[in-house]
Amino acid sequence: MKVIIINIIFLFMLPCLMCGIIKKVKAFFARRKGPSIWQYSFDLAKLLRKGEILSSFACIRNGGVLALAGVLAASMLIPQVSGRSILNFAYFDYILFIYMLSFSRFFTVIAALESGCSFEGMGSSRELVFSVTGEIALMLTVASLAFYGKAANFNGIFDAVASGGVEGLLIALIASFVLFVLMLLEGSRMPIDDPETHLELTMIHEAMVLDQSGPQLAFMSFSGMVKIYLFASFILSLVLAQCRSCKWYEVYFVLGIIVISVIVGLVESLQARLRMVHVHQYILFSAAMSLILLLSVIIFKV
Amino acid sequence: MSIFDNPVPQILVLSLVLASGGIVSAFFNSRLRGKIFAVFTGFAGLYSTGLMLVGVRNQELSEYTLGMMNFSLDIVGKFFIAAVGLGLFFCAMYNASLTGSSRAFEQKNRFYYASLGIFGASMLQVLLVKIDGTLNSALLFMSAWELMSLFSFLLIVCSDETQGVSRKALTYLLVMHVSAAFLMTGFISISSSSFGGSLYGFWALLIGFGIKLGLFPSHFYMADSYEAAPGASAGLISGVMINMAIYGILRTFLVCVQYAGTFGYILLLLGVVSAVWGVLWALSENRAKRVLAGSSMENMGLVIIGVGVFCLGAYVYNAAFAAMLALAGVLIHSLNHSLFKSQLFYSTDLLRNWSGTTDLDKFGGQWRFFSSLKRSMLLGSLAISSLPPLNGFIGKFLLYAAFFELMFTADSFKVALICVFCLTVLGTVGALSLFVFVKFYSMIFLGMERAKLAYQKKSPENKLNILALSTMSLLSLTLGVAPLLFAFSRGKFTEILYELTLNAVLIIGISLLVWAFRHILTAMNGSKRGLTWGCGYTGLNSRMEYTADSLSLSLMRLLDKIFPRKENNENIDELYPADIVRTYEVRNPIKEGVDFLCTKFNNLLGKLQFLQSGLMQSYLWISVLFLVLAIIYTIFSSSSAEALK
Repeated sequence: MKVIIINIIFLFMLPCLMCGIIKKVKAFFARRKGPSIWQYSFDLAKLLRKGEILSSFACIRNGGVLALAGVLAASMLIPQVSGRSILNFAYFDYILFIYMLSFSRFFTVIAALESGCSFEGMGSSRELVFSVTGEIALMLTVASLAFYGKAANFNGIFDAVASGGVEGLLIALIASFVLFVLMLLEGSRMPIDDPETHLELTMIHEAMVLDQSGPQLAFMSFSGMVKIYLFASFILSLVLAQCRSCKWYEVYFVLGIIVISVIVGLVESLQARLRMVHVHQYILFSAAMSLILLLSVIIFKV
Repeated sequence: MSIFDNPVPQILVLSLVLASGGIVSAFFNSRLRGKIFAVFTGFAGLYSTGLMLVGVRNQELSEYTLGMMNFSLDIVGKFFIAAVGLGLFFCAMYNASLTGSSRAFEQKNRFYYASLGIFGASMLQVLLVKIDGTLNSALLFMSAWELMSLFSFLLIVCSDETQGVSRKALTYLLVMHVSAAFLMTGFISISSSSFGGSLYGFWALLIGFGIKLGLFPSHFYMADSYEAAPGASAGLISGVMINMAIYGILRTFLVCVQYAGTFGYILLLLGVVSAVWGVLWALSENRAKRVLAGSSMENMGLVIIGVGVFCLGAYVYNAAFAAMLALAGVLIHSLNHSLFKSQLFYSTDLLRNWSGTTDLDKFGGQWRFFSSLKRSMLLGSLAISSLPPLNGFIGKFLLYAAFFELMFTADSFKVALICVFCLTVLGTVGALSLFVFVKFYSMIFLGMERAKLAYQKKSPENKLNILALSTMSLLSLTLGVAPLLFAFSRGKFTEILYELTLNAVLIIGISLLVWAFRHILTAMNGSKRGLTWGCGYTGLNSRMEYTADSLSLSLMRLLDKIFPRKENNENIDELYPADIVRTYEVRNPIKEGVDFLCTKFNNLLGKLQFLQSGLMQSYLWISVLFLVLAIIYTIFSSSSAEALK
């Protein structure tokens, strides 16, 4: 019970905090003071207080709702702040995790396309293509990690990484690298997408939420933030696997979240958005890293 | 023993009922034809499904002999008969709902109804025939198979397309007979050597069933045939008949286990290539039925991957649970595929009757005209992209589970590498099929209408239509939320299915919660409709919308070597051109290759044209020449030379 409450409280706090810290780091590099780290939560609260305007062509009208639902369902499956997940499925919950994210993506794109605007079509087209290449990397990573631990669920993976000692830590670091790139992809951060832009040339996710307003815009933005948080949880559960049952795990986790946010902020400040064609290469580069992960798993098991 | 104790003669009688229903309904006028056919077929379908559901827990073999013909049903056959029965029931419902509009061509066609009835009957009989390696059973199987191929050809002939029907139908017939030739060769070589089967026979059977399934190089006929097949029969041909080939492959392996090991790897490779190729091909196509044909190829590739894992698990690596999961995945995915594929085909046919086209580039904004179809088609698209909580996810998840179990149980690095690679392919194919069906659904229903289409006066949605399509999507949802309906006994497998139920309930519960939250907020703060903002552009019109081709263009340009597009761009001469027409054409290099080979073969045969002179004298002369040569050969061959001495 304590696990559920702690996870849910931090689930609604930490994603906004992460994005706020990223913005602060970017402001620091631009020699500005930047908005408060809680600004995103203020923005979401403001959006929830507004009414919504739906496009006159909108037919599903619940795309934002279902996108958030998918992401929240995925967040029930992965261990977060307290070291445990809210729901402990015994068989292959990593596959359920991936498919919940796909469910969310389906409805994000449907919500985008239902307004009939060309920008949303452009954003959807780009998003769908990137998700295909991202899925290659994600599936390779998850399968390699599962093979390493002969693990049928997330807990098994993290227990295996914990008991692997130095090898486990190395596996965790390589997997974290791949998951970091995938976090940038799913959370629509640089160098894949610029969350601050509204220029046609560079929009992907921003293009898809152009016609959302009010609560549904809040849901879409929040689901993007939660996706970053979920991948960060995955990374931290791998890296901090050895102290999952430590007393101060929650503190280490939050510190880890702050560190990851700072690193994302660094990447965003120091790297421009890549050309569209090069984004494919970037994601496939991370898929190549997951092949290296597979190779190291095999080497360590020999 | 009365007829009601044994399910086999009951199914035989049902197949006769189907056939006679088709023929009887052909005698009535066009108002009653569909309804009479629906009564017979619906009864047969429901009865066979119900019979199988009742008898499925009884896992023993049921046999029946009629003269020299042996029929039998084991658990695999029972499952497929349940699937066929379900498909027939929904076909009947959809067929009965077709109103007599000028485009519902098949309503007027008596021949179509007779063929449909006999086609359904032949599918049931294919599943009943006992395959035990003897030539007798092989002949019976091949005769049922031939009936199926022939009557599906006749159904395609009744197509309501306007151009090129005879060529498409004849291509289909030819390919089906090439497959039948391979099957016959395979059966003969298996029955002539010992019961374990010979390698050559095995290969021939695999190729024969593979051609029917549309595995990699032999998929080229599928797009044209499925597009040409008229409405209700397209659902049967692509959804249900394709399962017969899966049944055939399973039978081959269940009977001849000698070569299962090598064939496991070959099936994995074939399945992987077919799945990836199929989904990419579906992405490159922009006409609705062709997209669905590509998706059939992809799903059959996935099923073949499952059969491959089953072989590896059961016969090579002793991973019994992995093999069980794979077999369960194969069977469940075949059933689910027939359900959502036929639903999508019927919906596409409805749209075609309504608007006269299936071109995705011309649709758009259909949500205005249909209240129920957009919901059922959304569920169908979700199901076919294998997303929870619908039934397409169940089969896919079982395949994933089978791969992971194989990886854990067989502690070898070769297997681990192969499994990780195949898992990656499964994931990528899933993401790609999501792409295909987001495109499919959104281009038809969302946004604005892209072209002025000649709509019918009355909406084609009537009560029976809505009932049929909604029932299918509700059944998909039920099978997705409660896959425990597939479980027979307690154990690890049931726990996995229970976990899938929990997952489905999770996603539905959270969706309802979030929806309620948003409902409360919009009730408090208001919700309005307004014109799409369009990022500052005024004068938003449908020409600015993304078309089906443009949505997938970036990926297709990357794959230009495999799926070439021919773009026909007019030359722009004027400074301010008034009208520019740009067209594109999706080319199919495999079909072009096959056409090229056939043309070459035709030319080669053309060189023998001189023999067809039309003169009786030259024919007699050739016969005499042949007899003389035969006599000379017989005299001078070694065995007869000795006999003469």
